[in-house]
Amino acid sequence: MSEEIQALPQIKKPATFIGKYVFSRDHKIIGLQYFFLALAAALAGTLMSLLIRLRLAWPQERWPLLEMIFPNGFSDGLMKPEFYLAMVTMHGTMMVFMVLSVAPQSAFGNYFLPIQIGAREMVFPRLNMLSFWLTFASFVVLIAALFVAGGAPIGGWTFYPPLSAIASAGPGQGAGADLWLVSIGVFCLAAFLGSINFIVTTLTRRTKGMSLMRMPLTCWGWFTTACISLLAFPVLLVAGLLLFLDRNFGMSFFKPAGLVVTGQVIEGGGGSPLLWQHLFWFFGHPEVYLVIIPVMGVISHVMATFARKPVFGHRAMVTAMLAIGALGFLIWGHHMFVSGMNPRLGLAFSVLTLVIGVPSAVKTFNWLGTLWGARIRFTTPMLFAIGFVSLFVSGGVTGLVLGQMALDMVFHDTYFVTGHFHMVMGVAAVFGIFAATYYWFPKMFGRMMNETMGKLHFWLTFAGVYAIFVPFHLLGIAGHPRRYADTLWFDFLKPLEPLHIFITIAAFVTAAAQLIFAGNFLLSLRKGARAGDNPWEATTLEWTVATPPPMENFAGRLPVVHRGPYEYSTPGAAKDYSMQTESLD
Amino acid sequence: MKICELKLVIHSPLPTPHSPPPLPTLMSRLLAIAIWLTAIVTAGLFAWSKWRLPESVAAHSAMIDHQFKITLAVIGVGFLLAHAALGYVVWRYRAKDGERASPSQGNARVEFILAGCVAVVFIALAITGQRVWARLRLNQAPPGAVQIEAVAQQFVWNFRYPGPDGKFGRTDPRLYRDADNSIGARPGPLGLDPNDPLGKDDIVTPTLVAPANRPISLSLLSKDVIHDFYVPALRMKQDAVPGMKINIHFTATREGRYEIACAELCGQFHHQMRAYLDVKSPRDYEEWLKKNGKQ
Amino acid sequence: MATTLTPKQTDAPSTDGGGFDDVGDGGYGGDDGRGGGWSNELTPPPEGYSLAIRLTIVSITMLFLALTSAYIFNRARLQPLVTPRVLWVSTSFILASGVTMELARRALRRRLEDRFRLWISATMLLGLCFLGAQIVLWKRLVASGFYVNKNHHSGYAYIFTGLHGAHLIGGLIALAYVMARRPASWTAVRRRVSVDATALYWHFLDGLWIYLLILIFYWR
Ligand code: HEM
Ligand SMILES: [Cu+2]
Ligand SMILES: [Cu+2]
Repeated sequence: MSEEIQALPQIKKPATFIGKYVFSRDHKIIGLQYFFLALAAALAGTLMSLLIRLRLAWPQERWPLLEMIFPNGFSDGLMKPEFYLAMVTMHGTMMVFMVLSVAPQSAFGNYFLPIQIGAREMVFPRLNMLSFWLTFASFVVLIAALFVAGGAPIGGWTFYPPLSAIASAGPGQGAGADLWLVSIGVFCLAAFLGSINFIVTTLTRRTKGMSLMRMPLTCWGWFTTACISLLAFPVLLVAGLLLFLDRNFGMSFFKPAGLVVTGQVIEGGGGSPLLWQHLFWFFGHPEVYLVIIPVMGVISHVMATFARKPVFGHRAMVTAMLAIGALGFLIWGHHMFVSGMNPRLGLAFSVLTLVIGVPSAVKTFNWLGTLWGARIRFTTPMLFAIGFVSLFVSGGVTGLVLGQMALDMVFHDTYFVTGHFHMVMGVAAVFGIFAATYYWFPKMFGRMMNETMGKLHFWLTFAGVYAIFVPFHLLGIAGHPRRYADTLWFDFLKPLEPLHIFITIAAFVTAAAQLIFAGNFLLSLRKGARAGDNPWEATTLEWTVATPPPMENFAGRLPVVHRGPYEYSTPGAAKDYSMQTESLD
Repeated sequence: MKICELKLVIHSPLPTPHSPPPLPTLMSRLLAIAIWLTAIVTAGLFAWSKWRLPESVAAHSAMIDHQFKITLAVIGVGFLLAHAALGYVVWRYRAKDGERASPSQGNARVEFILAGCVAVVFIALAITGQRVWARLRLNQAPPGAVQIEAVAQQFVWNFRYPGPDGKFGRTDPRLYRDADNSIGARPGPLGLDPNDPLGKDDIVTPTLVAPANRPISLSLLSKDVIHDFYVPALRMKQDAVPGMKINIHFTATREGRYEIACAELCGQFHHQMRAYLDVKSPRDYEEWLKKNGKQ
Repeated sequence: MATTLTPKQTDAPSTDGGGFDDVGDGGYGGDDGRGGGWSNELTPPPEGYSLAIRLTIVSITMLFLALTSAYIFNRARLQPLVTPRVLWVSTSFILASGVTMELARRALRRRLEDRFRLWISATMLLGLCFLGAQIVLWKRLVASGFYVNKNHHSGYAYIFTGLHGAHLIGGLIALAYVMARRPASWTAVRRRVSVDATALYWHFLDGLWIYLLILIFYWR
């Protein structure tokens, strides 16, 4: 089958447990480390979101049991508003940074990029290890913010100063906020190192015959995202550094003069709160694409496999990814339409924002085109991939509302925005992560996941996320501001309480459905049916190697690539798939 | 840790032959129906649910609501078309024994045409949306507009009227006295300089009182962190940023009492930061001014 | 998908590590001349280092561009700041170090081992002198009353020079590494590429300093 050349020298295998699994330099182990880190963060983030939902649905309910767990977060059984806001902040940070920026890119990318391009390792294995451990440190510091005096910061994941620049502006704005900044700073370093590794590996480590256009779209996604990280994270680092100096060294880059907080005049002045927003969103908008682009790659990949068809418009898919990546740097201002930024600047940002909808629409169109004339196998990963398309459309279209300044004025900082980004980024990316997990689990762990449990998990989750996030939009249309610890104070919010209760119930059910996934995962690890090397009859290189892949992936011989990544159903071929290593005859 | 064990799992020497997932027809039907149903319910909720835009009393809100309706219609059509197509391919193109998928790799022509259409629609939306914004925010308040200042601080709104002289007096952060916020208090929560004659007749209130059908020019300020002046009934939202003075203007058309909220996270009690907008008839408004301006 | 696999003519390590090829048939065939050897090495391909350094430079540029925008946004340049004389000393040091770096690189090309070491040591020495001069600069600033939080201008002056210095320390470590590592322990190509990459980084810091000098101290 694969024409093998190039006998390879053997790497010295690490002998100790620590060398193998802790300070490992094997990209696959590092990928798994990232994966389990993201799972842990997702667990923490989900639990926080459930606490948030409790307070929103029943703001006056007493929870003495929870008070025993979080003695500082409750008083008399009532959740304190600052605890609610701390949960909102930590939930957002945890999910955006530790889950969505880690799982699609660092976890699956690390595991499969080298294999898919026919490399034995990342180019800089030691650097790779360092970036994982930095990410881990960042995670630990972030968690630590929950346990310091005053608790976790309450400023939201966007961390706008002066609220976040002044320790006395609220509980959690002291040590907790400093730890948050440190955590994010470390995360930036880790992302920088990781992106260097990804880019250099992609450009220099492709095996014979693996041209750029023959790379699977997953690799394109990881590559594009690495390029975005390389340019975006330094800006966040600068923002964090300046804010840290503002907080701890008496600077005031973000603080104007004459602030009076809790009766105290704040020293210094001359800074501008808008500076933070510009820096943050210059990073922040690319950040949302940096989350979704690798997911897009995974979805195309999974879809081609189970549609038994080549990806529709491969080149257009690549172009769209690169276009989204590039345009993503020009539209940060759409988060700032009502921030006090010059209202004329908004004009340009608004047009560019809607323009970026075009490559997104092209991608959607191509996914539909891929399914057109397909012979779809409805496996669990495929269900999640199809679900992703639905969610991406549902979340994407509301972006067209928010991209118009006049309408954004109505919906900015309401649940409409929360609904938009949870659909298009939050759960869409989570669906991508699930699709990737179900798809690659056999390769990573050598066993199949249970299909029945997988399907049940899909159905409950698909119904659940719509039940949760469509009502978010309705809340937003009715004018409900986001980040409100309760709805009792405003008359116009009181009629919305039933929606909150409905959402909370849906959220608990959906969260419980994730236990099916956890159970499936653990059960399949031990009891799942043995997977062969290529259980899905797929074409790319990861399916040519043993399951699970050995150290250095290719057992001594690098593959030679003769074909594009998705040659399915080629007329005249014996099978309905031709692996990339099959020669053309 | 489990991985060590896992890595030792000996993989089966033979690849498992592919067994297509069971019940392809049922799955495809179910999924297609689920997709269509989800789309219809979602669209229906947007179109007909009882949760809709709040009542509005601003002169400009018809314009905004109209733009919203157009946009909803456009994205609704796109959303429904996409889901119709998604359900269709799922229904139609399930795996069948012995059949192969079409090997088509795409059609650049169709792609260009569709991308072009999408681009035209999106840019048209952007441009019509801009017109609304331009009429609202890119022009000055008409001359003769009522001048009011809104000063936000953690969890309270203050409003200041210049009084008969039409001029605001000097304020000083060091004079802020939040404790005494009765209407005539000096220096009061805004730190009015008692020595500035211009400030003698200023009125500081916790409620925004406005005459109906007269343009209001509102200057937004903040004493501490970023807040956001948000009145659902006015379809208006604008950050109040410390260190900046941001001017907006609007005309309220119907008398009544409407809630003012804060829409930018400003701390622990962000959700309690409520004030009222009292829209009064011009006569009542003048009377209110007289009554409160005396001190 | 591409089926044409025309071999590329060159077998020199491509410095851009592959690069894009927009030919309609699927582009850059991997069956090119590079297929022959690098990818069975266990260590990074030599051009990987230079690519990595270039990417690092791009990222650092982004860092300083972001800081520059903040500097401009805060209107820091309009606030007072002294321009101590010692700036010229430090600038001369770093410019000279650029020259010695280049001499070291040339010496390595011509395999003049001793001279290479000499010039690398000179570069490191000049780098250290530069750092020393920067510390003197900080002292001068403090002496003139421009503490870190005196105004935005002074704040940014410390941040810019501090970050530049931190990156320079990274460069010094790289220099120490290429000098201290025994020539026998790595291939000549790899060694040369590493020195070239270090030199590139060093020159970048050189240029960056000139930029910062003008930005902070002369652009009023
Ligand atoms: C069709 C393309 C899209 C358009 C036109 C669009 C437009 C917008 C606009 C205008 C906002 C600002 C709303 C506000 O704060 O008032 C926004 C918020 C947001 N969008 Fe999108 N978006 C699009 C796609 C995406 C995608 C693909 C993602 C993520 C993968 C995403 C994630 C987010 C997030 C996370 C926020 C909110 C951030 C926050 O305030 O916490 N959007 N979007
Ligand atoms: Cu954005
Ligand atoms: Cu507020």
